[in-house]
Amino acid sequence: MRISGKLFHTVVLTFTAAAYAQEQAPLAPASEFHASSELSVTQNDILGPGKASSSLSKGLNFLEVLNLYGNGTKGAWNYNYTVGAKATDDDRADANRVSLTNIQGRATNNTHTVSVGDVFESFSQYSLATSLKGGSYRFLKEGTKLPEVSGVFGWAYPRWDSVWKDPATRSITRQASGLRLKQTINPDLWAAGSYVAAKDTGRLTDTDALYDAKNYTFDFGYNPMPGLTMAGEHSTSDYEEATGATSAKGNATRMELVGDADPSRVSLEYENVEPDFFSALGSASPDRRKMKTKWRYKYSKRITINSGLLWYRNNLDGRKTSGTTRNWKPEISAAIKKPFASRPYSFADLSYKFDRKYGGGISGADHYTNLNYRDRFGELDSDTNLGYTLYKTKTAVRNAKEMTFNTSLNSRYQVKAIVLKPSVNLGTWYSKDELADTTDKLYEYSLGLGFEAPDANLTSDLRLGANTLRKSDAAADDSDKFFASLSAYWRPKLMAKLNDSTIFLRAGYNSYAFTTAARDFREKSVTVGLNTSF
Amino acid sequence: MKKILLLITALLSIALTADAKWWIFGKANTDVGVKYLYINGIAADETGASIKLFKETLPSGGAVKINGKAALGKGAVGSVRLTLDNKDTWTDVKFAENGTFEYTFSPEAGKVYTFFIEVTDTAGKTNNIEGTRKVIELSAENIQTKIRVALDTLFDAYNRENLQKFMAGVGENFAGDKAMLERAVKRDFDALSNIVMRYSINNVAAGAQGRVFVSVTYNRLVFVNKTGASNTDTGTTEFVFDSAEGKLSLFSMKQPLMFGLSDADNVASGVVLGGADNPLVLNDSGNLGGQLSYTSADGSFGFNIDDSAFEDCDGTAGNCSGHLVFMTGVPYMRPDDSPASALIGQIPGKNITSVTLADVQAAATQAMETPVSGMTYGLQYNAQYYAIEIVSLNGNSIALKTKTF
Repeated sequence: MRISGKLFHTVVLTFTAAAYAQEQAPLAPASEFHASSELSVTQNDILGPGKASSSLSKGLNFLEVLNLYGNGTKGAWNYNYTVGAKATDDDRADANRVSLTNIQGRATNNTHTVSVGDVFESFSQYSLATSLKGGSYRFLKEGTKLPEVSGVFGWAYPRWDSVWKDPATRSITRQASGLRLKQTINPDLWAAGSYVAAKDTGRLTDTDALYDAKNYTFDFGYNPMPGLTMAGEHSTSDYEEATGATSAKGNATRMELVGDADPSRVSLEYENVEPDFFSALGSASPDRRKMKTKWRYKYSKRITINSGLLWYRNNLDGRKTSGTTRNWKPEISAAIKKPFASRPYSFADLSYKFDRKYGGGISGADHYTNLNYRDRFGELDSDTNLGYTLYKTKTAVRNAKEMTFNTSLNSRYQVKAIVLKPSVNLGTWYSKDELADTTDKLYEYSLGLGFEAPDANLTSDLRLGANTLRKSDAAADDSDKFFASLSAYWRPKLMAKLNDSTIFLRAGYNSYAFTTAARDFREKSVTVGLNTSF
Repeated sequence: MKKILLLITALLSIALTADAKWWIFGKANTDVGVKYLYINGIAADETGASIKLFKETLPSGGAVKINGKAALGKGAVGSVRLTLDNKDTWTDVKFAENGTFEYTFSPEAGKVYTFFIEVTDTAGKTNNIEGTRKVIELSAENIQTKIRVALDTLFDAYNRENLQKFMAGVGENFAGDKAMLERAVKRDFDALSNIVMRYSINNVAAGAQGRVFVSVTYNRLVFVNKTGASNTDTGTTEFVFDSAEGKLSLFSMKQPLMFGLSDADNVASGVVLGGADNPLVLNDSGNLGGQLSYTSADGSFGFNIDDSAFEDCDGTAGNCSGHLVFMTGVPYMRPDDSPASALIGQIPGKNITSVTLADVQAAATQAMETPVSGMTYGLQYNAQYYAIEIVSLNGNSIALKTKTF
């Protein structure tokens, strides 16, 4: 099913007319309807022998994003709904000319809640953490000891076009169903059990994996004392994969303990995800055992210290012949307000992070050091960052020293009803690769000028700059980029009837030049548009 | 494993039996307090100072429920009051004998509510009222507008290579681990320049638990500092955002990744169905990883997986030093060793991201195979195991991805 452009515009006009009619008619007290639309037209020109490298679509393109949403009351039931659509002829913005971006309806009487369309019942991290196209039901009766019950059924398509098998966005069909029971055992403790099943059909290519997977999950939350919270989850997966004729069972467990009360916040985390754990609809990184601790300590009103230690490893089943890779990632940082007593707006943040990775034929030790300093000098706000990183991964993978320096200066001047915001950004990146015996240098600068006329509801930002990459390796290209951009937003008073409308202009110019002239290209882009909502 | 479980048990035992808040080092001493506080089911400890709610994520009837439990030393609860207007007016809240209380109100969209709660025991002692301050707002914006603001912030910070600003948009509970993502993004910024990423929203879904799912079509241009090369790609990916911290913050990402390309296996949780054929990743040396391309003069060449290097040769084992020999014209591919110690086999249904060591061990049983575009192969080379995915095979040109176990 493809919706034609004409049909889409007809739908837009119909909904818009209906919206106006509803605006002018007396509204039911508990009923609301809103709509928003963003229509833009873009002209891109790409020139030069290397124009194939551009990420822009050449020529004139349009993009329309429409959203309609509302809510109301009918008897004991409250309802809300939302519908969204997108239309474009730019293949890089969407593979389809017209597509439905979202459609959802929900009704509740405070005990029973029914949702259809886009439903996102995130049961828990391992069980269900993605949206479905389908329906859900929830039972929750406040003030009773009855459990909260949630049921969901649908398809885990990434977009609506996939539902009607649009050729450009067709995907495997992943049918999902799930049930969750959550019981509040006492005011300090709750526990929940979830069952989620996913079944794939509709292979697009001979090599597509088709899963038939089930996850059984238990999770809980506990507040043993003020400021201390515990949460945990355990999930068992059982899947069969048809294409490769494989099947496996796996487990995933995570626990978190957080103590939070001034002046400290301490967290302890543990996670163990077996290599064969599979969650078609949840979030998990298989084959990882992780321990993590973080401590934030407000040493004084001026100084806060953050520290942390992260450790994780893989090869939990010991089947990797290359061995186990272990990672240690300690870090410490200090944020200091007014490091110089005479400078009331000064702020410094110093951090050090270390990455140690070894095993499986790899041995790496990376050091990251960073200093950030912010201050105000008269009318000038400054933000400066200095970083030093040492990458060292054996054998003959990476041995490099890198330094970064960035500083920005911003100011604000008001001349009658006009506000000017000039800014300057300077940056450099230096890398010395010991293995290749090469040096890379990147310099960049940009100048900006913000312009605001609040009385005229006009804001704009002009920015131009350049960056230059210089490589000592004669076989690799140097490059230069010059860029200029302008964005302007105007909310004309004449359009006040539309409640909130903005006309915008965005223009950009990028010029890329390389040592190999055949790679050079230039981009010019101009976008004009209208945002409307009511 | 047992040691770790013992350690966790010991930590929990200490936590549960401790009389005082061991983690604050004796700096706080308040007998009367709030044992826990939830605002629409989200623990107040986790919300941050301000809480922005969206109509689409309110659990029922557009109401906000505040519930909690008073904590007392030895006395009993005398009263519980709360204010939503910065202490201008106070409302008595009904509480149970055990100190639990609950209050529900229907906020107006766009209005800001400054909340405090006061617990008083029968002796007149009160809690630290200032410590309970929360600013609650029901956003007048629809969730689609809000998700665009969150995505714009992340994409803009990444395009400008501003690590601090980028990480401000990532939630503390980021599923792939926030510390891993921060280091991966830092490595991305050292490896890439002239980053231009754009997106267009395909699908948005808000859930009652305060999480928002979004699917986008992305379009990306990057320059790789190590080689000076540029790379563009387009595809579909998915994010989940969490609204527990007063704003929408990133909770999880799927492959193909937009951020954290230097540690894709650890920061991504899951793969988008039909996301992208050749997702962009960065390897340990700061170079483009994942996909390697080669065009040979006659379709005969060797490939060394450890060095990611191709070698022109005539297709016989004798003069190719790598792990694999290809003769695309025949067509065949075979390990560059005797069949006794080097074996290969097809793994249908898996790609380089989903293939496991068990798949490789089960598949690597043949002396040679037919190279097929889109197929993943397991390879045993002496005691070492690899997976190879042929991304494309067109005449004498090949693009492949590898994984070492």
